[in-house]
Amino acid sequence: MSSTSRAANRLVLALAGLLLLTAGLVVLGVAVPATAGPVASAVDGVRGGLQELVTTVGSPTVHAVGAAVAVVVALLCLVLAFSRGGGRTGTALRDADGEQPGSVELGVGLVRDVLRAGLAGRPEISGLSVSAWRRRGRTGWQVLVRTPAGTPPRTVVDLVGAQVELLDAQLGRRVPVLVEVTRGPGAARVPLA
Amino acid sequence: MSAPATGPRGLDPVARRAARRSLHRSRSAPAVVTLVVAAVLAVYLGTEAVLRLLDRPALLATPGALADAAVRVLQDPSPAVTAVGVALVVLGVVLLGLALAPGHRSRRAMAHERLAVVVDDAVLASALTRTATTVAGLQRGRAQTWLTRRLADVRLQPTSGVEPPLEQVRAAVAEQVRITAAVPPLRAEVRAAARGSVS
Repeated sequence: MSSTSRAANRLVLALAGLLLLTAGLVVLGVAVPATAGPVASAVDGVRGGLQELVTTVGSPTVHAVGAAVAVVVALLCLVLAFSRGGGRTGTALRDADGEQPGSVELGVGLVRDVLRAGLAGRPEISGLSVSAWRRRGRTGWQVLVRTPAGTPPRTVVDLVGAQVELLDAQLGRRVPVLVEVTRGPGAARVPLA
Repeated sequence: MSAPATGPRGLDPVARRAARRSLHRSRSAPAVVTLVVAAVLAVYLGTEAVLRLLDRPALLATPGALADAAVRVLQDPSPAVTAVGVALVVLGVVLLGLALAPGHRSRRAMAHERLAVVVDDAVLASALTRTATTVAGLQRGRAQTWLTRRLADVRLQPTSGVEPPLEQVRAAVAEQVRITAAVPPLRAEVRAAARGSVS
């Protein structure tokens, strides 16, 4: 679970796709006799416009503005490309607003160990891992559960749900939890507790 | 079960968002590749523009020369140019497809009052197959389950000459589908292959 915007990914892909599609259609349009005339004149129009721009504003200005736009576009692309992930945290719960001075933090490892201990010995569960993410000041847990082939998912989910509810009672909090159930090894190769 | 997309109404929006993201592909890899290619192109064009400003020799060609070359190529298209056009269209359609397709992963949400739950289709299919073979008294591997968004299709491969107890299998599979409470709801179908086989 990361805080990367999925919509931004789609927007980037849609923009790039549209751009490439347009460029491709222009290239093909020139090659096909039926559309060659109009497309070629459109291309000429763009080229004429560019030339006019260069002569009226002056070549240095056009190149300077072009370079500035290129720098902005490149920076934007790189920031979007490399600001991925984030939001993952090792802190499962933070309690700093209590009446006691100081603050209490629970690690993700503790939550994992408590859940594993509660589920130890259950053949329906062959592995369990926990990660926590933090977004806009709220923490959530992602619990990945592996189950041997043939196990009804409802059984797995109810087992995990009961443990989470025990944890709710112990912590006095209901942290948002996402449980993901995937196929795991038949035997408990991932040790529980 | 009239639960919304990822579980009961009472579920925390943080958990609901997590489930929604888990159900769809992130498209992060193609987006990063696209962004890096765009950045490289922009850096190159920017560099050529700056070199032109400083009256230094171009790396490959000045921006003006690049524009001229593009127009020249378009005025006299060769088969190679057409091939490039086709490649651009294909790439464009692929990227648009990635952007607009729903991007479902082969997993589904399950209703639960406390948890946001996402289960792999492989887990659910394997559980339904196990139920079907157990109730029908068949060996594992003598049944298969195909899952689509709203249908669980269980097919039995009965032993030659032995009628499988289809109604019991149907009831057991339907019950398991019911308690699974997949979102959106699943319908179960159980069929036996017309010809049995010798085990």
